[in-house]
This record gives sequence, C-alpha cells and structure tokens, in this order.
Amino acid sequence: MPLMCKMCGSRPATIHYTEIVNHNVVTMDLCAQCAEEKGIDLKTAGNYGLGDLAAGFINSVAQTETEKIGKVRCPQCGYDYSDFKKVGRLGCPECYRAFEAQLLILLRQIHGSTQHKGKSPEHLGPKAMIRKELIDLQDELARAVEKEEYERAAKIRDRIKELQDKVQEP
Amino acid sequence: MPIKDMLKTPGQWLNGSGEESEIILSSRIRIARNLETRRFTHNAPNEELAAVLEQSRSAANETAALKDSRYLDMGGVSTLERQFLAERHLVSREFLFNSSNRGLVVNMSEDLCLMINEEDHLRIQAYSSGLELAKAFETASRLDAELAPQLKFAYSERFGYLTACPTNLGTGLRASVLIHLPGLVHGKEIHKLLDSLRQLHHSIRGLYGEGTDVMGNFFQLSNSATLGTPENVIIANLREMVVKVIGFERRAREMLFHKARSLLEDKVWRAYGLLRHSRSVSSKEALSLISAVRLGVGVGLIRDLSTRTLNELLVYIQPAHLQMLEGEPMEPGERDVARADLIRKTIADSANHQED
Ligand SMILES: [Zn+2]
Ligand SMILES: [Zn+2]
Repeated sequence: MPLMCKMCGSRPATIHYTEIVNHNVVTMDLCAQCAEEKGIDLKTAGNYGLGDLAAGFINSVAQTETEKIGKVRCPQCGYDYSDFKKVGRLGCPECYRAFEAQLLILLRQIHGSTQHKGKSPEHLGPKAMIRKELIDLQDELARAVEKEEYERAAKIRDRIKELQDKVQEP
Repeated sequence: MPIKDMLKTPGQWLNGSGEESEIILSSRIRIARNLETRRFTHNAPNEELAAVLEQSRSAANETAALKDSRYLDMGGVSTLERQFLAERHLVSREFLFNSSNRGLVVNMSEDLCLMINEEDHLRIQAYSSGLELAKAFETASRLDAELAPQLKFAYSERFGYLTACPTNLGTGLRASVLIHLPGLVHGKEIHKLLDSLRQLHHSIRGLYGEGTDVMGNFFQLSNSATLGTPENVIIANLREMVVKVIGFERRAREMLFHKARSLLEDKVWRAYGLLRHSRSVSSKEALSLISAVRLGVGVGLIRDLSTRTLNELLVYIQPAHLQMLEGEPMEPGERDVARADLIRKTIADSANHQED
C-alpha cells in the first residue's frame, strides 16, 4: 500500500519534507493537492517537473517557511502561534493571515477542507462570481497536477492568471 | 420592558408545529460574524468591546428583521435572569460567566436573536419549530444581509468569514435540530448511531446532561464542518442525515410497539400518572417522565395532550424558569415541589382545553 497523505489521508503521498514544529522535527508526507494548499508553491515546482528535484526544492522552501512562521507575530494584535495553541482561539481576524501555513493542517483535520465556499459579504460586489470561478479552477489545477497532466495544468494556470488580473482591476 | 414579561409566552419555536414535530422539537441556525480590525472578544480590552457592542447594537436597530425586538444589556441583568435566557436557548453558557459589554437583541416571538460579544462579536440565531432548517436559515440570513452593509465583517477569500475559533471558520454556520430519540435509546441502538454520525462529519450530543448521562432522550444533532461547503449544501446534508435518523427512530418505535406493547404502554401510562399526581419531582425525573409521555403522544397512546404542551414544559420546569415564576430564589427541594405543581396544573389546563 502506498504511503498516504498525512493531511487528507485519502490520496497517496508524493511529496515528502520535514518541518520544525515546537522544536521537534516532523516529517510530512503529502499529496500534491494538500502540499499546494499548505502554501508550497507547486506552480513553480511544476516548472522543474515533479520529480526528486522538485521534492528537494519544496523541502527547502518548506523549511525556511516554517522557521520564519515559528517567530511570526500577528501584526494587528501581537498574538503568536503558541498563544493560539494555548487558548484555542485566534487573537483577531488578521491572525488567520499571519498563521495561515500552520492553520492549514489543522483546518483540514477539522473541516476536511481549507477553502471557503459559500456566502461572501455583499460589499465584495460583482467580482464575487469571478472569485468563485477562481476557486473552482484552483481545485482543477491541483487535480491536473496530481494526475501529471501538465499541458492541461498550464492552460488552467493561464486562465487563473487572466481572472486574477480581472479581480485586481479597480 | 422587564425580562419577567417573557415568562408569559413561550418561544414560538416550541409550538409543536412544522414538519416531523413529534420527533424533531426544533431547528436552529447560528451564524457567527466578526468585525474587521477588531480583536476577538476574548482578547479585546473593555473599551474595544464597548465599541463593538455600540456599533453592532445600532446596526441591529436599523434592521427590519429586528424591528419588533427588545435589547438586553447583560451587564444589567441578574445571574438568575441570564440563566433564564439560557434555558430559553437565547444566550449561551458563555454569557452566564461574562456579562459586561455583552448584549442580546431578541425579537418578540423569540425566533430570532443576536448575541453581541459572545465568543464571536456577532452570533445570529434563528429558531423554528419542527424540522424547518431552511425556514430558520432564511430568517437568520435576512438579518445577516441587513447587517452586512452596515458593519464590515472580517472575511477572506480563502477562509471565508473569520471566527475566533477555527472550528466555526468559513460559513460560520452551525445548523442543528433538537431530536427526541426514546425508541433508539430504549433499543440500545443509540451508541451505534452516534458513532456513525460522527464518522459522517456530524455531531450529536445530549441536550440535557453530559456524556453517557443523557437525560430525557433529547439530543442535538448538528453539522461539524463549516469550511469548504456552501451554506445550502451544509443544510441539505444535515437535513438528509436527520431524515435518516427519524426513519431509524420510527422503526425502533414500531419494534417497541409490536414486540413489547404492554411494557411500552405500562411505561407511558405510569409516567403520565406520575406527572399528573406527583407532589415533588426533580429535573432529572421530570425529563424522563416527559420523554415517556411524549413518546406516548407520538405513537398515539395518549390523545388528550399535545406535543406543544410537553415542549413548553421542558423549558418551564427548569430551575431559573421556576424561580422567575415564583418571583424569588428557591432551594432545590422547594423547586421540586414547585415543578410538580406546575406540571400538574399545566396538564390539567391542557386537558380542559382539549374537551372544549
Ligand atoms: Zn492530501
Ligand atoms: Zn491577530
């Protein structure tokens, strides 16, 4: 049986890297989709081909990322990740941005997902539809990369870029 | 208007109407929202809480959904009154312990309310009698939509509505039903059911009492995931689950009725007799008696009593309700006597109405 992804438990793990959690070295085995959701830049990795080279590249990205995060404080309220672990609640809405990478694993365990789908505040206006499409495309991209359909992935990526530009427009 | 006035009428969601109401007491929707750039309640200093309270309260004032409502400043409400509100499911236990800079706006029919500075800055709650999740969701959403343009809700593209606890993240939506499962509890199938529900990402817990000591066979069944699934799908999934559980409960009741009819009848009528004649009854005993009589009404054994009367009793026999009715604090022993009096009187009134 293949080693299964530690985040979703449902897909085979194709990416392996270590991260430092509370001074302990933890080995993570993830599938491509969860690795992407965890903030590991698969799009860049994809350019190198998803072989050992990419795995090594991701490994180094992930390590610097987590070491940085260990020290990160929320710029808005001053909480750090250990405050959250103690209290079980975030300090302020901005904390979600500050601790995003750490929270993704937890959110997947709680909700089985790391991407909101559903209502958005009215003031986000007509761009909400585009954003919805973006979310679906990102899922599709992850699936394409997982199946190693790089040509299709590239097309989806272009479409994502196009939509992202549209959303950025004032 | 004093809180005491609320005693006169029970919340509309207890009225025993709606789909499947002999098994489902009520449906509830809770939506969590927080204000942008403010610290979450547990982490905010008093002046920030006061600002959130003021801002939210005046926004609520502007809404049509809460036009006909009362505002309760928790800081100005006694512990007994807070407990009374909790027994009516209007505030959470969190409000029992923290009251300053906390507020509650509740409409007159008590099927919509807004808790301010609970775990999240705003908690919208809507209730409906029976299995009416969609109806309750519509009520809650109307208020959400009216508040949104006035208050900037903390929201991110990735994580949706941002909440103090990550378990509420995304939609901020907790949909639940209060469900009465005497058949499944009696048939000892309840634990199997609880395990499989948990595996299906739903959560179920006893309404009264904790862990294995669930009183009265009343349970609360809700969605556990709030992130990654749109609101309408969360509600549809929960409903589907509830309909299945109702099917299991019906089957268990039929089994009881066919295989152990005389035992069932004895249990139901004995309970009815005790409720009609007791002179002192504890909460725990009352819950179990009401449960048995409610089953008797559900399977058609008892015909001179309504589900509505029994639902209302469930709320009014609780300690704070009894003491508010009495108008003064009572020792547990005195409450048991008052509880038995209230039950006898309520059942007698209800039987008279049936004869009219
Ligand atoms: Zn995975
Ligand atoms: Zn923060």
